[in-house]
Amino acid sequence: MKIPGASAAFGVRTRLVLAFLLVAAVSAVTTAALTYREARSAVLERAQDTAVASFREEVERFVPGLPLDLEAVRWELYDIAARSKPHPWIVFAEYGSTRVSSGDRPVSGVLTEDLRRAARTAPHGSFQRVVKDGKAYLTIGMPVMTRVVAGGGAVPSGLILFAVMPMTNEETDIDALVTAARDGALPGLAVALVPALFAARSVLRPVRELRRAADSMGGGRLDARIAVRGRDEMADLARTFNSSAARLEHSVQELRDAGARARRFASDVSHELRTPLAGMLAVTDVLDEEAATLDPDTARAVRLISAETGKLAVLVEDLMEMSRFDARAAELTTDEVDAAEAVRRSLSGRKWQDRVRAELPEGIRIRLDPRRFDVIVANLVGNALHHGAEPVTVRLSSRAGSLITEVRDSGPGIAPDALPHVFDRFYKADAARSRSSGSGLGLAITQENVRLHGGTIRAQNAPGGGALFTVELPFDGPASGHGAPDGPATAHGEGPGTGPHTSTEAGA
Amino acid sequence: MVAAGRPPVGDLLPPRDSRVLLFFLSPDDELLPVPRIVDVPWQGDSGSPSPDGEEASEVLSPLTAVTALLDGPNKAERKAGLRNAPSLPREASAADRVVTGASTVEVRLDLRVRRLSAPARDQLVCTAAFAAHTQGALPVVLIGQDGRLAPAHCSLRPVPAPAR
Amino acid sequence: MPRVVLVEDDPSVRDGVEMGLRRRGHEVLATATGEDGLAALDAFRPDLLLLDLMLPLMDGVEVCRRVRADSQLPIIMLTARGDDMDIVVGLEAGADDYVVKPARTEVIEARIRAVLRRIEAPAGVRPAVEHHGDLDIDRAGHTVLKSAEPVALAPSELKLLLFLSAAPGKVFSRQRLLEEVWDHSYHSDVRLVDACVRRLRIKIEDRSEDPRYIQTLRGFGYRFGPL
Repeated sequence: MKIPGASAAFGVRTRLVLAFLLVAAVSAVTTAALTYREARSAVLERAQDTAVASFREEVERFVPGLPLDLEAVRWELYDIAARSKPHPWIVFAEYGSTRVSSGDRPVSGVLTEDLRRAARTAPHGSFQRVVKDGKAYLTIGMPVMTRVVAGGGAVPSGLILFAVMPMTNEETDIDALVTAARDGALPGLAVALVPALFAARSVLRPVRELRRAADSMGGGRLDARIAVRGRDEMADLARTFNSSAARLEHSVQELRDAGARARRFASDVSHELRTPLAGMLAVTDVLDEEAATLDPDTARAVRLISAETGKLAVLVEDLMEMSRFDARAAELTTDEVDAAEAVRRSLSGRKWQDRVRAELPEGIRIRLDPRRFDVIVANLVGNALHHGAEPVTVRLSSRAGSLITEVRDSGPGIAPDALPHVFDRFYKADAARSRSSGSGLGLAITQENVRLHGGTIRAQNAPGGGALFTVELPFDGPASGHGAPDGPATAHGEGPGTGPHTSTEAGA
Repeated sequence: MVAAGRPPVGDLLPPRDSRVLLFFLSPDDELLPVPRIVDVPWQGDSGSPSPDGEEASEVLSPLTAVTALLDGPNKAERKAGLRNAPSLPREASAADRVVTGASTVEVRLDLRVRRLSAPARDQLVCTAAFAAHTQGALPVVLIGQDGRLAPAHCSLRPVPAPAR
Repeated sequence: MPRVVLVEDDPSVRDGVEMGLRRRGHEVLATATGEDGLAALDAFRPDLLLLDLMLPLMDGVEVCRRVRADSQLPIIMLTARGDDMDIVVGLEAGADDYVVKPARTEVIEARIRAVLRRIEAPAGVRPAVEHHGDLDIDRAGHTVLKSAEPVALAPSELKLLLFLSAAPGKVFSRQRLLEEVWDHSYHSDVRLVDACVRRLRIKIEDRSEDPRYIQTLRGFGYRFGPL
C-alpha cells in the first residue's frame, strides 16, 4: 500500500498546489495584461488628446499671417513649442516648399509621408504614433485654415504645422505599470501558496484517513471508521464509506455467524452420531461371526450393515477431526523423529510395505507430530493406491530447511479441471468411484495437518504421468499461533521432545 | 494614422481693404490663396463698378487681381514654391476687362481661354470670384479670343469656421 | 479369561461392548455409574476396569483416582478422540491405557490383552532381585522396593520400569516404548509414555523434578540411569 516515490512527486498535493498557483498566475497575468492595456491606452490617449488639443489651441493663438515671413514664422513656432503640453514638442511648419522648425533641423525624420499626405489633403488634423530607433513619438499634423474675412468661412491656407512629441514619459509610465504588476504578482503567487497548501492539506487529510481505514478493512479490521467532518463532498465520501463499511461488517458478521453455526452443527452431529456408532461398532464382530450361519440374503444384509458401520465410524471420526480444524482446536503434539522410520512405520502398520516403493534416506530428523504425519503419509499413499495405480513411490528428501515428502502413483493422473479441487472436502473427481473408499475428507484433512505444521502441500501431474503430491514441512517447526507447538504432556518440560536438541547419540 | 478633429483656423489674411487674394499652385499642385498687399489706392480703371458690389471697391477691383495673377508670384512667393499653371501666360496685360454682374463675373482675357489647362482656369476663376465677392460665391465666365467658357464656380469654397 | 468391570453410562455402548467382550469369553460386569462400578469391585474382583471418562455424577477420572488410592487394578479408559484434556487428566490419575470410541471389540480386547500382558523376566542369567541404587527390583515377583519399602506400581508403571531397567543407560524413543510396553503402534499417543513416566518418578525418585532413575534425553527419549 506504499505509494511509489515517482507518483508521489506528482501526487494530489503537488497537483493541487500547482493548480492553485497556475490559477493565481493566470489571473495575475490576465489582470496585469488587462490593466496594462487599459492603462496604456488611457495613458496614451490622455497624452494624445492633451497634445492634439493643446497643439491646435496654440496654433490658433500663434498662427503667423500670410504671406509668410520665414523669420517671423520661426518665432511663432518657438512660441508654440514653448507652450508644449503635456510634453515638449518640436514644431515643424511646411508651406509650399518652405520648411521651418522650432528645432535644429527644418525637417523631421520622424514624420511619415502618410501623415504629410493626410495633413495636406484631409480637411482635419491627424496624428500618428511612430516608433523610430526604439523611441516612441506622437506626431500631429494640422492643416491651418484661414478665414477669408473676419467671421466668415475658412479655406485652407496651405500652411501645415506638425508637432513631434517624444512619448518617453508615457513609455516609462507603462514600464512602471508592468513592473508594479510583476512586483504585485510575485508576492501574490507566494501568498497563493499558503491557501494552496491549506486546501491540499484539507483535501488530503480525509483521503489519507480513508486510505488508512481502507487498509484496516483490507487487514480484516472491519470496524474501521472515519471521523466525518463538515458537510463537503469529502464528508459525504466519509459517510458513504462508513455506512458501506458498517453494512460490510454486518454482512461478514452474518456470514461468520452462519459459518460458525454450520461448523457447530457439523460438530454436534458428529458427536451425537458417535455414541450410537460406538455401540454398533462394538457388535459388528458379532454380526460378522454369525453371518456364516445365516441364510444367504440375511448374511449379505448383516455383512453390509457391519461394513457400512465401519465406514460410518471412519466418516464420523473424519468429520470430527475436520470440525476440530475448523474450530482451530487441533493441537500439535510434536516429537523429534527419524523421518524415514516414521514413513516406514506408516507403511508397515497398514501392510503397504510391499506395494509401495520407498526412497527413504536415513538420518533425516525432524520435529513433528508423529500421529499427524502418519495421517498425512497414510492418506496420500492410500489415495495413490486407491485412485492411482501401482507402483506407488514415496520419496523423502530435505531441501532449503524443509522436509520434502513426495507421493507419486503411476495412474492416469488428475484431470486438469479437478486439480484445483483435490483438497476440497467431499470432492469426488470421479463419480463412479465415489464410494470406493474413504470419507471424502482424507485429502482435506491431510492439507489441514500439513498447514498445522506450517508446511505446504500441492498436487500436480508428474511429467512422466501419474499424480504427484508434494508435502513440504519446515524443519524448524510451525510458525506460532496455530495450535500448540507442543502437546500438553511435553509442555511441562519433562518430556524428551521439549527444548533444545541434544547431540547425544541415540543408542536405540 | 488617426483623425484628430477639426483643423486649426486662424486669420492669416490681411484685411480685405488692403489686399487682393491670388490663387497660385503649390509644389503639390494645390490651389493656395495668397494675399497681395495692394498699395495703389486709386487706380483709374475703366472697369464699371458693380451696382450692388457693396464689397467690391474700385481699388480692389477684380481686374487688378486678375492682372496681378497673370503677373505671377513675386519673389517671396516663388521662394515658397508657388507658381502659375504652365498654360497661363505670364502677361499681365492679357487681362482685358472684368465685368461683375449681379449673378456672374465675366473675365475678358486677351488670350485663348480654351487652351488653358484646368488648374489655370481654376486659378483665374477663384481669383476673380474672390475678388468680386468676399466668399468667392459668384460663378465666373472666362471670355477669350476663342470664345467664352461655361460659367464656373471656384473649387475652393470657404467652409464655416468655428467662432473664436 | 479376564474378568472385566465395565462402567459406561450409555446403554447401547454398554450393551454393545459387554456383548462383544462376553462373546470373546470375558466375564463382564457392566454398570452405568462410577459409584456402582466402585461398589462392584470388591465382590466381583475383576482383572481389569474398563472405564468411560464421561460419566454422570462421579466422573471417570474421579473413579480412577479412588481405585488407585488402594489398588493397582489395571484401568483402561474409554474416551472419544478430541477429549484431549480428559485423556491427560485420566492418565495422570493413574489409567494405564485408553481406547478411543467408537471401537471394534477386537480393538478393545487387544488393549485389554496388552495391559494384562506381563513383561517376561529375562532368562535366568540375572539374579532374582536387581539392585539399582535404593531400588530393589524383583523381576520374577513383579515387586519393587525403594529403600526396602514396597512401592505400589500400576501395571503400566511396573512394565515401563522393568523394560527400561533391563537395559540401564540405553535410550529408548517414546515411539519404541509405545510399541514395547503398551503394544501400541509407532505413531500412537506419546502422552501415554510421558504421563506414565511422571507417575513413576513420583513413586521412585527422591525428587521427581531431578530424576536419577528415569532420565530424559531431550529429542531422543528416556533411559534408566546410569546411576
